[in-house]
Amino acid sequence: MSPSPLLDVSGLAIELHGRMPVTEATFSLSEGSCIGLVGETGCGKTMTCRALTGMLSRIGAVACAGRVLLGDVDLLGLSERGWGEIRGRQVALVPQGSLSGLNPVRRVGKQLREAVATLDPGSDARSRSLELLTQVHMPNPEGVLGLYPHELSGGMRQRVMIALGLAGRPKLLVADEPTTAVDVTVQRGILELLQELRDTTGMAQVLVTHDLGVVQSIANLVAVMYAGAVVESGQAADVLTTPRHPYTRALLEARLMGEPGALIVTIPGNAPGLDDRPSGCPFNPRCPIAVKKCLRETPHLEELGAMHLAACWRAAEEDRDEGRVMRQVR
Amino acid sequence: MPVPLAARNVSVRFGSAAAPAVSDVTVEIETGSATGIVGESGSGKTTVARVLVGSLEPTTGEVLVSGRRWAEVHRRDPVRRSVQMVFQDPYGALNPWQSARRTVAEVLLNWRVTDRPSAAARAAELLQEVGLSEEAIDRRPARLSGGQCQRVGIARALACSPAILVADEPTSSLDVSVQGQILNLLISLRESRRLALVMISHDLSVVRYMTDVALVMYRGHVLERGPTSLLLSQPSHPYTRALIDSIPGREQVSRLVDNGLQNDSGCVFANRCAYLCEDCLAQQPELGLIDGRLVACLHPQLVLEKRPLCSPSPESV
Repeated sequence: MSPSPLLDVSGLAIELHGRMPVTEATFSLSEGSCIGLVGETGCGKTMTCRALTGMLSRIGAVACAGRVLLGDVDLLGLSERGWGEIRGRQVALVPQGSLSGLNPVRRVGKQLREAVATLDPGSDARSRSLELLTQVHMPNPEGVLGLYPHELSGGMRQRVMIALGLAGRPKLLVADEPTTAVDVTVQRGILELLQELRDTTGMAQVLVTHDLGVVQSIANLVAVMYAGAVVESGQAADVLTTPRHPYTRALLEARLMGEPGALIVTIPGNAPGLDDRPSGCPFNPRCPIAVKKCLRETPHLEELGAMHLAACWRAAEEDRDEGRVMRQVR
Repeated sequence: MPVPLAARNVSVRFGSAAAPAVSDVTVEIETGSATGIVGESGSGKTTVARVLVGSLEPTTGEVLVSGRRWAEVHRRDPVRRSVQMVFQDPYGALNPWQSARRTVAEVLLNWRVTDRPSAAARAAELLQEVGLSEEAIDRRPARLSGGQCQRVGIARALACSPAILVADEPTSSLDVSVQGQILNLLISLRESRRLALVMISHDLSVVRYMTDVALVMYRGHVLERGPTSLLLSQPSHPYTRALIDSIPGREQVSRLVDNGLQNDSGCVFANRCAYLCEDCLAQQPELGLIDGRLVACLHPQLVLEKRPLCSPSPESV
């Protein structure tokens, strides 16, 4: 990892109408890398994306702690005018839901030209629109310019959404569940496209998903969120093979990899809602290895291996025990 | 003894639609079996489910429940109880004004399974059987989680002691950590009640885990049918192959193509198939037996052997 990351999120907390959808989000990524932001419904993934793209104030949310640095720009301190220079040009968002993200009564070409005119005023809007559609491997790009969103398939709409995101040649693309509503065979194509964009343009990507398989296939980094906090992060290959947080372990075990028909290892109960988060570690009511300390004190991310962080008292304890044993051996 | 539930050559056409939603589907559901129906959106999975439970009359073909056609089974006939359904959207499938207990009790009373004084207690028993916690029994759906709502949906389906449970994407709107809980419940109910399961899902890992036999559907047609483990380990239809290869993180053996072909008479999969050749455009291939399963493809051997393409290549067609 380079000494100064492109994006550095640390201790981010977000307040919305007196509640805290995000309590402690910490992760960073450098140019050309892709971080998978994983978690279940209500864990704060989408809120975190909003913070990265300056869209918190639109829903009345406020970042109340932490910092988000893009290069040397403090994103949390930006005014709405300041965001005008950054949004789309430095950071672009591909929002969740490809149908609702497009204007249903405007042709695709018009929407693309509009984005190009705002974000890339120097270029010829029509030829640039065509170039963008070609870049996302849209079949028959000329023809698609004249179509309305409802005339496109889900996969094609998602490609248009990505093309819109690319209009300002951003350094960071934030994609919120880009493949959730599409079929598996289409999903494959979209993931390959994201990978290719990363390879050809060197952009960094934040990929929000609930599917660990998606992370495994295209992200090199991963941050697992639970109840508003990043509870584990690190290299994807490392975290997904040797998870340290019991929640990450449980998520991996829930993937139905075992012998058919055998009972599946599950996490008991449900993820807590915004109003009933437990004290101490947010995972403690469902955790198989929780001890008294977990009920009282909230653990914070701690480095447990090379770039591998986890917020778990027990994981940290395990390490200390091992360290003690190793010292004794020496 | 007739098979508890069987669909024979069922086709469904909605209104004046050009293509049928479901075309010539045959499937038998045996006692205690677990059948999976896999396919992407628009493949006709849910339509097959609706035909199986008798809520939709097929345009042609017939569905036999204990040897009788659905149309001949009276509303109040006890045979109707034997097939029940669990729905995809656990919130949408429940009455928002009814508590979990009332939802189940209503079914018990409608089918005269119990009398009025004991209905509430029996409903609570059923809700406990599906693992709904004590304090949740008298809550309305708005105060239940998605997983809890799905448990209520399952308890309601079990209320009249069915022999067959048709579950339409029962876990697709749930989080992964909750999905396992619901699948475990279905596995244990299958054993304890000798239930036959029909699992409809777009998720191959769910179908692999839960079923013995599977149908792979595409645009209303069954393209491959046979033992689930065989289909998923050695697919013989290009579409089944492509579905398996599309699972993120897997090595890709075959690719889907988009050859822009507009063809109404040939194989339904022709415009995306990497194995396309001229004969494929003549008609939809019939299901034929090969290597222990039925497959509707002219080149199953090529797919089985993972050989890349048949010639001539699609461009020259």
